Amino acid sequence: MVKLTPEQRRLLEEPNLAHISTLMKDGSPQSTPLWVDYDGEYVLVNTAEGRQKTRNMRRDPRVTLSVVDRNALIKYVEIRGRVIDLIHDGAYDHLTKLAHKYAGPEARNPAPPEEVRVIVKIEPLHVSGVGVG
Amino acid sequence: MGIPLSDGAKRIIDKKNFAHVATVMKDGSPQVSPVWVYRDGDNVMISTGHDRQKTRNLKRDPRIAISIADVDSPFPPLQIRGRVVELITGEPAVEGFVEVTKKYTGNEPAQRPPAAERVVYRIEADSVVAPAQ
Repeated sequence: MVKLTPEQRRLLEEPNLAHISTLMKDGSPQSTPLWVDYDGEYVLVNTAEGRQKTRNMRRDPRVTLSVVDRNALIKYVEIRGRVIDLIHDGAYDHLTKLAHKYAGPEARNPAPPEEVRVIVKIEPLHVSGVGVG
Repeated sequence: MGIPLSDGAKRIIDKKNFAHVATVMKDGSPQVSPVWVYRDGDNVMISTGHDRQKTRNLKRDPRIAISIADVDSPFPPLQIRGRVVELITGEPAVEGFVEVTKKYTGNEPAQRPPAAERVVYRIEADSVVAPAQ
């Protein structure tokens, strides 16, 4: 496991969108933007059962995230990692927390109630960046 | 043979958004980096350096994924999966660099880079998920 530097951590803690890449069944890449979190050790993202990326991550835990600093577009971090857990408990509340981070304290949780949310816990294995050593 | 881009997809690609581009490493894991892109008809064009990791990856495996979150309206995002169908080098690659620099900055680049240092990838889309308009 690799720890992020304070600068890299700041990128993940501020409301910058992350783009996550997973692998399709045939090995080709798939990439989508999503909200992201960092707990000091693991990168956390929140998605739903039934999504392509969720199926991909269950089949192959290798993922990579890129996060660009929305205020300094030259700065970004690339995190290659491994999905180590997919957690249902608390996933809906975690999404509310992310909604407040990205869309403000009045923001509503965007998920429809019937959706099964999942927290994806990602272990950073290799971190590189531009402008964020 | 690639598929055409919808109007919604073209609109997002033509704006000054970062594209997050995923390629496949030698060991099969995904790699992602943010790039500038421009469009040539139904092809997405990426201008980059000849010596980048993504360049090495694409020479080995042309499969690529692109995600763009429009800065004005990040969700739903544009997601494209496709293949690099042409690797452009030499002066035409420098022209691509000039074109993408003008798109994003409004100006020609201060210096034209040496032709040996630039490549442009032409990408055909196999699947496109885009906002309706």
